[in-house]
Amino acid sequence: MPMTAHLTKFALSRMAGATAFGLTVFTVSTVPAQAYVGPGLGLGAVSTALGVVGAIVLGIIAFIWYPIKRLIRRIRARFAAPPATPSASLPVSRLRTDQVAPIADEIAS
Amino acid sequence: MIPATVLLGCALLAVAMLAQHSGIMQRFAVLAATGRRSAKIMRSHGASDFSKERAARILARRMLAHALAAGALLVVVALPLIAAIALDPWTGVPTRAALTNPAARLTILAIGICLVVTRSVIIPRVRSPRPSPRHSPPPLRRRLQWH
Repeated sequence: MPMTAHLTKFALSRMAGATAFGLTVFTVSTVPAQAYVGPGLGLGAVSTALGVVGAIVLGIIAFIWYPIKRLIRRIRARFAAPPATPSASLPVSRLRTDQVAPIADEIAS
Repeated sequence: MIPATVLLGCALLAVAMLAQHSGIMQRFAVLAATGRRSAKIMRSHGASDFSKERAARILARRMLAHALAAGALLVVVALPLIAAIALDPWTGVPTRAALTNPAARLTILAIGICLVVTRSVIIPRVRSPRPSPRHSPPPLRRRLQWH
């Protein structure tokens, strides 16, 4: 068995022991919490929390996701575009051959 | 225990009145409608990314405002009960014990039922008395016959 497996097993057993000790201590020393929340207040609190979480998610979408998406699209478009030639007035590479042929004939005549 | 029961009953009544008249349910309904609307806009395929981004920005602000307003209103509605329980050590009135005392709870329940019956059945009847046949005006023909 490799050394790391021994260490992992030891760490896990120590963590389990600490968890059991903590649980025992907290179970023995219980005091009434006086923290009852009724269904109305509970549902209201859950709705408020969900509303805040939803607003944060919407904010992340609006302020982070869409600008990043726009940036990615812009970078892709820049890399996909052909290098601009100063002599050519038309972007020939973007034209199809059936579009290029009449123009070439006209220039030749 | 009687002052604590009365105080707790008054606090519960104040909570019920505040919940009824503060429009807290409408606040939560508006919050839910905003969430539904934002989900619908995010799911829509016809809108452009620019408009979706703008809508998400506006709806996020609006949703945060609605959620915070609803939470604040919830705290305000629950404030009388919180105050009645929190003032227990200072005032010396054992409201915390009354909250878990079966007799006090039963008393509050009975008083609450009496109050609801009084408000919803007795007071409307007193305000709009049903005309009894003895005191009702006579039919037109009889009235004409009298004259």
